[in-house]
Amino acid sequence: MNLRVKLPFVLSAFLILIALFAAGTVLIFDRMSNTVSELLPVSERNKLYNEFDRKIAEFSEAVKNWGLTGNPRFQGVYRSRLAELNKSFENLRKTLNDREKVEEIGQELQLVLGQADNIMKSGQPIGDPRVAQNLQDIETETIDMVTKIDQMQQRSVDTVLNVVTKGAQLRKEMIYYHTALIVCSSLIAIFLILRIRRMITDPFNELLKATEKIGQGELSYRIHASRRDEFGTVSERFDSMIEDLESSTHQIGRRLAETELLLEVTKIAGTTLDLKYALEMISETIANKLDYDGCGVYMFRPEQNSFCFEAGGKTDGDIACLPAAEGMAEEVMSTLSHVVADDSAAQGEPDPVFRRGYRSGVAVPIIRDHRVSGLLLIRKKSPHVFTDGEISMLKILAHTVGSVIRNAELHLSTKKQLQKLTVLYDMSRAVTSLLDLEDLLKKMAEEISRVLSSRVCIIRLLENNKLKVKSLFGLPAGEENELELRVGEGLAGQVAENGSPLLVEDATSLPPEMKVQIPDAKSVICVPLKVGDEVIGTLGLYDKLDLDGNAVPFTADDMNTVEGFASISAIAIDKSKAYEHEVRMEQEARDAKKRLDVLFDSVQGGLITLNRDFTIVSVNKYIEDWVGMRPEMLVGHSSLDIFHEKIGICPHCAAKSTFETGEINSIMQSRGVNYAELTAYPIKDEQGIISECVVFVQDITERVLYQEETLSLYREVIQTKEYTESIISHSADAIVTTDLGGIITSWNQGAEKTFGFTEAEAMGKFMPFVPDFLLDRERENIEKIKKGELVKDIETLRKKKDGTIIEVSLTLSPVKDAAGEIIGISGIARDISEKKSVEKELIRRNQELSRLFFISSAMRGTLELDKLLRMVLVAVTMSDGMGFNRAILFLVDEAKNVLKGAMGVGPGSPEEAWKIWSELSLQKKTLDDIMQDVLSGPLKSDSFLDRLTAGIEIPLNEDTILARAVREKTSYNVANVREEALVDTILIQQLGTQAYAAVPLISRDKVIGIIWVDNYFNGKQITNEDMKFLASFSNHVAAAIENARLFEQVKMTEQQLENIFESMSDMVYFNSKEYEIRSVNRAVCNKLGLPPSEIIGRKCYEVFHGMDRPYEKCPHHKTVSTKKAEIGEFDDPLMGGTVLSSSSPIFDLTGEFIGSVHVVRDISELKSLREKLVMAEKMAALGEVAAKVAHEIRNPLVSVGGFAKRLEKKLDGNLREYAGIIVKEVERLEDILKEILGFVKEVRLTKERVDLNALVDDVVRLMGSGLDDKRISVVKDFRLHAGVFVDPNRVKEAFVNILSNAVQSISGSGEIYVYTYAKDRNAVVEVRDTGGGIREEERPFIFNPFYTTKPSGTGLGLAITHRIIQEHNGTIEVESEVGKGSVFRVFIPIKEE
Amino acid sequence: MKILIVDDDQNILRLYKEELEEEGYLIVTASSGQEAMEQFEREAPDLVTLDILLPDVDGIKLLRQMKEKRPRLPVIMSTAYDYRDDFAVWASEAYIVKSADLTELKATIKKLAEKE
Repeated sequence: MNLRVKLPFVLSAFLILIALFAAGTVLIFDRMSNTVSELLPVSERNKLYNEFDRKIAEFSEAVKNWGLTGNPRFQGVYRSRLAELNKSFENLRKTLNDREKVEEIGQELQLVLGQADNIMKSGQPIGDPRVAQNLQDIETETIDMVTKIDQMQQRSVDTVLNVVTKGAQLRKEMIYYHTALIVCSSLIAIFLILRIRRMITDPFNELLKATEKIGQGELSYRIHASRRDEFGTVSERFDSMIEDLESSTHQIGRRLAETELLLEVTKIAGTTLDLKYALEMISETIANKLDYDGCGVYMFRPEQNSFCFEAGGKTDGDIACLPAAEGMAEEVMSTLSHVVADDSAAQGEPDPVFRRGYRSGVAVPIIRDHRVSGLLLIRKKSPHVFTDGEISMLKILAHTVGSVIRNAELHLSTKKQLQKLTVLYDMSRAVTSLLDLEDLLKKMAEEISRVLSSRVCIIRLLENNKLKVKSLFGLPAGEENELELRVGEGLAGQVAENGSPLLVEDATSLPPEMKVQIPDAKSVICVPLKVGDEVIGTLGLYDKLDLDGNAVPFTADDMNTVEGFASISAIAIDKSKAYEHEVRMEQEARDAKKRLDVLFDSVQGGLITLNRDFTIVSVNKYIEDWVGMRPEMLVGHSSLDIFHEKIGICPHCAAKSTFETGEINSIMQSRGVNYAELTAYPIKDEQGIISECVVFVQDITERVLYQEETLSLYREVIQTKEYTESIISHSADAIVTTDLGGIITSWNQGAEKTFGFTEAEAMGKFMPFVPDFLLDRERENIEKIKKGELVKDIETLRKKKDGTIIEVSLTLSPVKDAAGEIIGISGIARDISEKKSVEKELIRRNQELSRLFFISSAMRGTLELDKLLRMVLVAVTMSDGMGFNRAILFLVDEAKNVLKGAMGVGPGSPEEAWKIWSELSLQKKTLDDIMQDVLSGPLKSDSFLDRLTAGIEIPLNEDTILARAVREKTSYNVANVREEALVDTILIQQLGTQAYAAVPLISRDKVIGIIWVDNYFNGKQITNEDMKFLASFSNHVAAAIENARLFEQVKMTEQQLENIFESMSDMVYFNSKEYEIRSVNRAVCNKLGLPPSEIIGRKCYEVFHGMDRPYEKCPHHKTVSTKKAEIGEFDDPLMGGTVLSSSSPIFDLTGEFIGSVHVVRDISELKSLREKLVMAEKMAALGEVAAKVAHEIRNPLVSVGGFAKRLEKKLDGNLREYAGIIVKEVERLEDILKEILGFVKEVRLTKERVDLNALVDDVVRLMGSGLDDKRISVVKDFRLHAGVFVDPNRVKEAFVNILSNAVQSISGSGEIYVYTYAKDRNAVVEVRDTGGGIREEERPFIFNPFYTTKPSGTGLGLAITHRIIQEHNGTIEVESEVGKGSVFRVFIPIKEE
Repeated sequence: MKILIVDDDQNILRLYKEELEEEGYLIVTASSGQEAMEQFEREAPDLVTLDILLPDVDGIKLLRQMKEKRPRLPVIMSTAYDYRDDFAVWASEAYIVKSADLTELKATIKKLAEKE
C-alpha cells in the first residue's frame, strides 16, 4: 500500500482515539452529576425541617412568655410568630411528599394552635390553671411534633448517606476506567508513530546518505531499496541516474586521457625537431598513458624490405627488423590496416613479436601516400582485448607519428636547402664585394667546404699551362707548391684539360695517371672553373665527412652544387683578376699624368700650345686662372678668338714668327693695366717640320705697375711737399716733425716763435721742448703714433728755450712714406698758456668744428669709390647698358674670408621695376646722363635691394658658385637654381632668384669681388653672349676700381696734408706776389661767408679790406717787398674786429719769390667773448641785489596798491579818482619790477620741439588789441618747414618784445610784416615794421639793458629778447632806417637737440 | 572754508584778510613760521597761503612740514620774488607773485576750493 493511502488511515485512527477518549469522559461526568442531583432535595427538606423546628420553638416561647408574664407586648409577637409558623408549615407541606406524616404533624399543630389560642384568649393568664395546663400540653405536643419531624429528618439523612456511599463507589470505578483509557490511547499512539517513522524517515535518511556518498565521489554507491512506495521509485530512479553518471564519467575520463595523450604527443612533435628523440618520447608516452608494456615505431626500409626499429619505449628494441613479408607485418602491408594478434594465434614458431613474454599486441600502420611507411607496434604482456576506441586512438597516434616523421624530414631538407642558398648568397656577395683575388679564393674554399662538409678543398688556377694552387682548405699552408700540377696531370689536370667535372667515389681505384695527391682521400669531386668555354682553373673537394667525422662518398647532388658554385666562382675570379689588372693600369696612368700635370701647371706662367692654324691644342692651369675660362672653353678654339679678342694678348703673334723662322721668339704686350711677356718655342714632328708651338706667357704687370706707381707717387710727393712745407714753416702754430725716435726733422717759424729755439738749434736733436717730467708721457705718444693712431688736441706742457713752462694744445699725427709706412711724427702745437678759460672754450669749439670737417671730408673720400661702383652696377642694369634686372656687387673681405654684399642696384619689387623703367624711358636719358645722376635718381643708394644686399655674406671656404667664382676666377651662369647643386642658397632665400650669373672682378691677378646679376623680373635667360659681355665689362670694372683705389690712396695722402691746412682754426691763404689769392682754407671761407670759388683769383686787399690797392699794414704787403716773414696786429672793421696776421714768403724751386702764406687769426671774437663774460658777471651781481630789493619794494607796493583799491571802491568823486591813480601807478611799478627781476634772473629752460610758425602766430594774436588800437595791419608769410627745439614760453616772450617794439615804433597806422623761413640750418623769424626806425648811433645799444628811447620803458625788452635768443644759441640782427622802419631777424638753429 | 595766511608784513595780512573775508572765507593769520605752525595745528585750515621770506623760518621749510603732516592740504606760495624755478616749491599747489591786484590770488583760491 502506498504512502498516499496509508496517511489518511493513520490520521483517522488518531481521530477515533481522541473521540473515544472524549466519550469516556462525558460518561463519567454524567454519572457524577446524577449522584449530586439526588442529594439536592434531601438538603432542601432538611432546611425546611430545621426552619419549622425553629418556628415552633419561637411560637411556643412567645406563648409561654405571654402565659408567664401577661405582658401585652407578647400578644403582637405571638401573632407574627403564628404567621411565620403557618407559612413554614405550608412550605413543608408543599415540599414533603410523605403526606401522611405531614397530616399527622398538621393535626398536632392544630392542637397546639388551639391550646395556644386558648391561652391567648384568657385575659389574665397568671395564675390561671388552665393556662398552665395548656402550656403543658403545648410543650408536650411540640415535643411530639418535633420528634415526628426528626423522624422524617432521619430518613433524609439516610438518603444522603446512601448517596455518599454510591459516590465513593463511583470514584473507584472512574479510576479504573481512566487508567484503562490512558493506557489504551498511549499504545495506539506509539504504534502509529512507529508506523510513520518506518514510512517516511528511513527512506529520507537513505536518500541523504546516498547523495552524500555520490557527492563525495563514491559513484558506485546504490540505494537498492526494495520498496514499492514512492521512495522505492525514487531510489530506483536515483540508482539508475547514478549508474548513467558513473558510466559517462568513466567515458569522459577515458576521452580525457586520450586527448591528453594526443596533446602530449602533439606537443612532443611540436617541441623537438630531433626525430629520434621525438619518436622515443612519443612511444614512451603512449606506453605510459595507455598502460602498454611495449610501444615501438618501426620504419619501412625498402632496401631490406622490412620494418626496422626506429624508436620505442621501455623494453622495445628487442626486434631490430620485422620482415615485411612475414607475420603481422605482411598482413599490415597487404591490408593497409591494423592487425591485432596474440600469442595463441601463432602456430608452431611464435611470431617474433610475442617473444619475451608478450602475449598480445596490435600493429598499426603509419601510412604515407597510400603506402605503409612504418608500423606502430603495441604490445602487452597480458592477454588484452583491444577495443574499437583503443584502436581508433592508436590509429590517430600512428598518424601523428607519421606527420612527426614527415615534419622532421621536411625540416631537414629545408635546412639543407637553406644552407645551400646561404652559401650561394654568401658566394654571390663575395663575388660582388671581394675584389681582392686572394681573399676571394680563400673565402670560396672555406664556404664550399663548409657547405658540403668536405675535408679538403683545393682551388687551382691555370697560369702558364700549369695549375697553381691558389687556395687550400683543410690542409696546412705551405703545401701549395707540392700540389701544383700541369694540365693533363692527375685528376685536376684531366679536368682542366677536358673541361668537364668528375665525381670519384673511391679514389683508390683510379688509374695511376689520375692519381690524387691527397694521400688518404677516398671520395673526390673535381670541377673546372670556366669563364665561357675557357678553363681558368679547377676546384677540388676531397672526402665528405658525416656528422660523426667519418668519410662518406660524395653524391651526384653534391657535384651539382659544386658545379653551380664553380660557375659563380669562376666569374668572380675573372672579375677580380680584371679589376686587379685595371687598378694597376690606372695607378700607372695616374702617376704618369700627375707627373705631367705637375710639370705643366707648376710652371710660373702660361703655357699655350698652338698648331699651325693657331688653334689652341692645350693650355695649363695658369692660363685657365688667368683668362678665367675652363680648358674646354679654350682647347679647340682659335687663339685669335680667345686671346686676341677677349684677353688682349696674342700668343699667335709670338708663334707666327716661330712657325716661320723656327726660332724662339719673345714679345711684350700690354692691355689696360696688365702687361705680359710672350715667348714662343717650336715643336717639331718626326719630319722636322714645326707642327706646333708652345707659347710661354708671363704676367709682368706687377713689375711694370710697381715702377709706374712709384714714379707717380714720387711726383705727387714732390709736388705737394713744396707746397705744404711752406705752409708748415709759416704757420703761427709750431709745426714740428720728428722721426720715430723723436729726433727733429723739421722746424717751422711758429716753432721758433713758440719755443724760442731756432731751426738750427733744434734740428737733429731730441725734442728739446719736452719738459723732463713729461718725457715718459711723450714716449707713450710716440708709441701711439707708431700704431697709426692720432693724438688730437691734447693739452700738455712745453719748455721754452729760456726754461719757462708754457701750456700748449697739441695734435700729433703720423708721417707716412709712399708705401704707407709710418716713418715719423708731425706735431702741431699752439701756445695756450696765456689764454684765459674763455679762450680755451673758443679753441675747443673750433676744434670740434674741424673734427666734424675731418670726418665729413673722409666720408666724401670713400663716396667717390662708391659712386664709381654704383655707376658700374647701373651700367649693368640699364637697358641701354647690359639690361640685367638686378645687379649686386660683392667684395672679397679677406680678413673674414667672405664675400660681402657691397651694393645692389635694381628695383625692389615688380611695381618698382615697372616704375623705374617707365620713368627712365620716358625721360629718354642716355646712359651717360643716368650715370651722372646715379646718386640722386631712382637708382640711388639705400634702395630696398641695397639694404638687402648689405646683409649678405657668403663664406669663401664653402663650395658654392660664388665661392668658386672667386677661387677659380671663373664666371658662372646658373640657368636654373634647382638644377645646380652648388647654388648659393642664401641668394635664393634673400633675393628669390631663380637663375643668375656671377663674374669675378679680377684686378692684378686677384679677385677683388664679384658682379652678380639676374633677370628676376622679366625672367629673361642669361645667354652666353650676355656672359661674354659681362666678363669683358668686368675687366674694365676691375681696372677702374683699382684705379679708383689708387686714386683714393693718393687722395688720402693729399687729404691728410690738406687736413692740416683746413683744420687750422686760423685763416690761412696763399697769396701770389701779385696779391692774388691762390688758395684758402675753410676758416677763410667761413669768415668771409663766401665759397672758395668766389675768393680764389681775386686780389687780397679787395677781398679782405675792400680796398683797391694794397693795405699798408698788411704783413703780406711787407713780405712782398722784404721777402721775409712779417707779423702784425690791427683792427680791421671789414674783418669784424681785431686780427693777428702773419705772412711767410714762398720760393719756387728756382728760388724765386712766388708769394706768401698768410695766416690771420681773428681775435675780435675773443674780445667780444671777454666783454660778454664781464656783462654776465655784472648781471649776476645785479640779480642778487634785485632779488633782495624786490622783496623790500614789492611788499609795500602790494599794501599800497591793495588798500588803494579798497579805497577806490569805497570813495566817490575826486577821492575815488586819486585812489585810482595810486592803483594805476602801483600797477606800473609792479610791471617795471617784474621786468627787471625777469631780466636778472637765471631761467632754467624747458625745451621741446616747437612749431615756430604756430608760436609766432600765437604772439601776433596776443598783440591783437594793440594792433587794432593803432590800425596796424599784419602781413604774415610763413615758409618755415622745420621745427625747432626751444623753450616755447621764453621764445614767445622774446617775440612779444620784438612785436611790441614794432607796434610802439609805429605812430598812427602802419604795417608789420612777419616772415618765417629757413636759412643755413637756421630757422629765421623776420619782423619788419613801417615805424620810425632806429638812429644809427643808437643801434649798437638797443640790446643793452636799461637802454631806452621811450619815455615809459624800462629798457629791458630787447635786452631780454637778446638774452633769450642767446640762450637758444641763436642770433638776432637789426636793420633800420630812420623814417622807414626796422627789420629784426631772429636766427634759431634747426638742429639743436 | 578756513584759510591760513602766513606773511610777515602786517599790512599785507590785513589786506588779504579783509579782501578774502569779503569773499566769504574764514581767515586766520600768522606772521612768523612758529606762529604759522601753531595756527596750522590749532585751526586745521583748509588752505594755506605761504610767503617764503619769513623772519624766523624759511617758507619752503614750512611748506614741507605742512605737507608732511597733511599731504593733501592745498598750499599757495605767495612771494615777492619769483622762486618758481626752485624745485622745492613744486610741492605746493600753486605759485603766485604778490601783487596789489588780488584777482589772481582769489581765482587760485577759488579754483583750489572747488577742487576740494
